[in-house]
Amino acid sequence: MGTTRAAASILPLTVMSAALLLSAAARGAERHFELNIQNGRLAEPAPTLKVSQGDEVLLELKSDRDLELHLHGYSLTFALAAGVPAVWRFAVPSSGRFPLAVHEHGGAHSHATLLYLEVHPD
Amino acid sequence: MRRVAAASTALAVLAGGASQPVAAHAFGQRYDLPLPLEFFLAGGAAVVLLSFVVAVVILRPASDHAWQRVLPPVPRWLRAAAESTIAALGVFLFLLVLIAGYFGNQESSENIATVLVWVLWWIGLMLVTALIGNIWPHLDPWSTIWRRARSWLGRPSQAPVDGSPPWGAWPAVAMYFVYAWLELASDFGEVPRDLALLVLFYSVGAWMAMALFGENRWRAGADPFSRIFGLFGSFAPFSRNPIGQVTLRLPGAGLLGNHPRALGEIAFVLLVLATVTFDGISETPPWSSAIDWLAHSPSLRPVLLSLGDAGIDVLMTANTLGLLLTGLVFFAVFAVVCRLSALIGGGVSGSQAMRAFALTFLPIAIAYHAAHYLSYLLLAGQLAIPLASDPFGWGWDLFGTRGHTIDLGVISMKTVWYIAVVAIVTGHVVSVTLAHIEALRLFPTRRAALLSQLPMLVLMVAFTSTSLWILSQPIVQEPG
Repeated sequence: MGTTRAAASILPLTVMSAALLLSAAARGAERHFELNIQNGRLAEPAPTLKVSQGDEVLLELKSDRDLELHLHGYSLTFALAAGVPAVWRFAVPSSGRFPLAVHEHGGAHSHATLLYLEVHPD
Repeated sequence: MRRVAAASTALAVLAGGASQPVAAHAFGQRYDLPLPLEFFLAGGAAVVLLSFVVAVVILRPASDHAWQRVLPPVPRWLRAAAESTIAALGVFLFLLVLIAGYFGNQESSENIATVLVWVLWWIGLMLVTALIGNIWPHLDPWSTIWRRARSWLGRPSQAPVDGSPPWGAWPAVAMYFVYAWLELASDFGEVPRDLALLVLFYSVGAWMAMALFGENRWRAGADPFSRIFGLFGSFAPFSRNPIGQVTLRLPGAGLLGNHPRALGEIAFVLLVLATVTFDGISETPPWSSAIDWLAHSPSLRPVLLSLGDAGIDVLMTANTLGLLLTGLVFFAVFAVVCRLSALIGGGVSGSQAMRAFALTFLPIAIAYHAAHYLSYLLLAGQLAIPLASDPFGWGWDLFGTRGHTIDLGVISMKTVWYIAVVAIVTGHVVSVTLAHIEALRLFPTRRAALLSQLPMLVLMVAFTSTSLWILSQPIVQEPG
């Protein structure tokens, strides 16, 4: 009896919070990361940023060199000038694990994975 | 797929600060999320549990005729039309690979040659062959061109020759190893022109071998592609029986009793299993750490530097060693387990057991291969849409599809996870079942058969768990 009543009172709550969660997921949270790139890298091995499908990713970027960033899979590119802070904002509607690569200009052409962006399904 | 593992610092260290010239877009890059822990655990638990269920349920010897139905005959004209259409398609695509590869855009994702060979043929057709049926004997352009050339020259068609070709399956083992090395350790096949030249080189070799040994013996013995498509096709539900009727059977049933006869054939099967597994291992963080360790090891540094001067970077060295080692470990472990199984069961030799059980591991490898490449096939396969309009990457727009970009949302990772775990558990159950049926046929008593399967069961659980573990690892790869 007691448990039934408790369950009965919990149920609407659960439904409500589930609905809230769902609506939050549907709207998509804004995920904010600050990245200070030194020498074309962040850390070794490349770190992983985890976000949810439908989020909006906001990267606050700073680099000590001119770089071109390329988000594989989504095929997005972003040019970053040395010493100039910049904000790169993009939506991630599809799940997966995507390397963010650095293309460096001037002299030798180099290429490395800066980080991995993991977009998790709901 | 290729060019994996991130030993970027290691590469920079060895290159002495100079960096590697690379293409702007990675070809063969997979974007799979690691399998979450709960999927990994549920899959592992199901694998262990179902192994025991199969062991207990299959106590009675299976009949010699596995479930099989002969399908209604296809009209002769329709069959002939289908076969010649497939053969013509094979020759057309073969020429397209050569011409587009050699003359087209040298960016691998903007040339139909690389997409056709690596994505659609090697991964796509291979999975279709395993899950539906094998059309390679008709599609095989080398055979079609050979036969056409012979009939134009007025030579009679060759009758099938019995008996294995010289050296058995060993030439196929060697060629398959080189091919796997090209795919997994080197990046030669990624540049369209190199790929076209490799295909041309292989073609000349294949035709010379056909001239020397006869087309049928080449195909039945030494040709690695006929052999691997044949292998995957023997798992498939649809097949042709010796009198040409199309039959339907349970997936995997075709592997029963279809034993490799010689050591070379067993080695080929194990090499296929090993390459499928190493393909996955080479993208895991532990492998990447191993490469870093290798690159920073002071004792190996001079060797690696001199290899580097010869154009062989540390990644290629490590992957070559890894591929070789995985193959040898698979062979050694399989031989030991078969010997144990034979000792426990009694009355048979270790090599008899190896012949009986080699193919029973194939379903696990096929399931893993499918799970590993499912999303890749659906994403990279989309490259065929723009390339159908612009096969050479010259800006043509034959069918108006040139502007198509890859739709990442075509499959959700959650769907991939469910399919992956279900496929791997199913593959495991099929493998364990096949091994039990083979054991019941091989050993004198049911008790002996059941006991003989203990080491085999342990090995199968280990093989399946390795597959699940690889899928649960985050992919680490150096984007090309």
